[in-house]
Amino acid sequence: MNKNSEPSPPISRRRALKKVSTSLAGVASATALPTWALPELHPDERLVPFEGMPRTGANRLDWESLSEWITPADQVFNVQHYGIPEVDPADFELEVTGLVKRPIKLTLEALRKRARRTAHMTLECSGNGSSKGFMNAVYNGRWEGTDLQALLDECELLPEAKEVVFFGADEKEETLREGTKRELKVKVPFGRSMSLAAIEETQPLLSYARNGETLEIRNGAPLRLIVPGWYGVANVKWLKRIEVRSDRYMGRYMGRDYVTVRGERRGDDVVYVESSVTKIRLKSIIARVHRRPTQNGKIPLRAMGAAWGDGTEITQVQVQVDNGPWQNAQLDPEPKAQFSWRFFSIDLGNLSPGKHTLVSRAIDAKGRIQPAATDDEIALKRTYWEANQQWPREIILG
Amino acid sequence: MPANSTFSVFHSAVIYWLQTAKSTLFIVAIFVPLCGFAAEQEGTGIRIKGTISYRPDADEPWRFQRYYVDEKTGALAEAVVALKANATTPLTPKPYEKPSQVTVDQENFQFIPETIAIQTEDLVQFTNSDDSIHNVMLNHPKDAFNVNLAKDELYEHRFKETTDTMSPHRLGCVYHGSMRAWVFVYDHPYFALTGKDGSFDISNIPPGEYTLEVHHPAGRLVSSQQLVLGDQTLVTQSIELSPKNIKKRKPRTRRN
Repeated sequence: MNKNSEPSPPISRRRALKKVSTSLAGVASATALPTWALPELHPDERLVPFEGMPRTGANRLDWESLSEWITPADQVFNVQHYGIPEVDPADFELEVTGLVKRPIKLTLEALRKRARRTAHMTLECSGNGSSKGFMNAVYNGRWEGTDLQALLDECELLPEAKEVVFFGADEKEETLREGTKRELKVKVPFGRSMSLAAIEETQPLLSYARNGETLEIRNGAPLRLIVPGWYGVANVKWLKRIEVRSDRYMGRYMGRDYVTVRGERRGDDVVYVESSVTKIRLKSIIARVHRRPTQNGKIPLRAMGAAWGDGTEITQVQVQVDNGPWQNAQLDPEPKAQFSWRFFSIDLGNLSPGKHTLVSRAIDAKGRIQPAATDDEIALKRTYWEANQQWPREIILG
Repeated sequence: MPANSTFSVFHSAVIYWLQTAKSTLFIVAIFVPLCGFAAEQEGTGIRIKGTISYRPDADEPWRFQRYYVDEKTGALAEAVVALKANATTPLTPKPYEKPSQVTVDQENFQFIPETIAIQTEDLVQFTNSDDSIHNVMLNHPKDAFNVNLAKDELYEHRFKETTDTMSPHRLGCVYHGSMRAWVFVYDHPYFALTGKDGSFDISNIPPGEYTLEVHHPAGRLVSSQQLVLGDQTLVTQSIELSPKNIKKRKPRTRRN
């Protein structure tokens, strides 16, 4: 998909159902719909709750009510490491500095006057999926802003420029070598960096709005870097300064935290490799399971969910029931955007009453398959970031 | 109380339910039983019992409904119902003879129960049944604590500071941001936490003017209204909440 194109605004299933309800008003009252039900449920369907999962609270994606392709604002998570800073939009300036011929400072108004671009993107915290207590830190949005690459081009990078560092307005005193004679305390801003090649590949956005609304403060207002296909930590909130450098930036969240330690097999040995968290790894999850009334002792079941990754096309999602064969799910043809999740659904036929385990896996155009927890990619991972393992769902059918 | 005087007492009772300016609570029914007063009377004072329910609206879905609302009856579980003193009727703290003990476990990455209502001398025991390490944390100027709990470990706490029904203590786990619990702490016994059947029961209330407050912290439902209790012995009532009772979030965007 061209970076400037975007699909037409998706009509949510809920709104679509409301339309149907309205159009049928003369035939049957809309109140005939079960008021407790998710709109996507057929009249004779019921949601099957997942076993052993905590309730989903505010500001977290509620998988079991997932219906909107664009996530509602009250289900959007926020994670910050240095607190939420006070940034007055009236005084705000973005500074581009370092190895550039033409340093620049831009007010928010000036940024808004620049060429506007929108980008759909599923934004996921890299720790999402690390435990059943952290399964909801992901959402899909339509981001609006201006192009980073164009701004850097205008500033004219010097020949020695290699890396671009993005600093937020949030800052904190960090302690290095704590408890040693060389202990050092230093107040630093939150920072993340990208190589020039990565910027060219991902085409980040300097975003001031999401889904037609001004960004929320907790989500980075007034300005946030949006890096399509990269985990949330790279999408620097309260973006204040862009610094072009010739050497590698090694701030805490590039060099010490958000560093995945993963074992790789080299013959009979396992070698541990440390890498900075960047691209979103291929992932899918079953969001909801619906059942119909028991027929001849069996229960008709269907499941639906979402799959996403780093922008590589997702070609297939498969679902397995009770360690049986993998079955191909149906990928929703629309809505679809390169860096956004795709919804899938599957008719699982008729299952016996009792306990069942359902799990999904995504496959992308590069042939990558979402790993199981027992696969080396996950089993040899020693840190919790990049937790893209398959996530089995347990249900009990009565 | 002589049975033959019960009916006249009933009629002499004065009950005023006034909606406060902030509340949009709808009281759909106030039932005062016509018989059995003597049987219901316990100790001294007035008893309020009833149920809290939730009436859904398909146009304003409340996504927490499936956790707390009985599908068939609409009963709302885990709501705190409490009296608040008005200027004319202070609710004086009552001496506590036998503090209670409440356990809040952490299981499946969730505080169980999520919501408790206690008095200041009550003991709360926090436990962890998960294999994962958890934490219990309260950020409060006078009663802060931050304790890690490995599997099967225990932490005991007596809450020193009372809370307002609309502003309970909010506890969390530093390791798992989605885990949260609410603790309502009172210096009087005039409160209740609804069960799965939505029921509540508050006894021995002195006559007077109060505010009756309902707060469901997990679902952000709130309501309150003025209440004047005369010399009746029992008030049975049903309170129905709806999406209109969902507490609006403060806007967190700046105009730019």
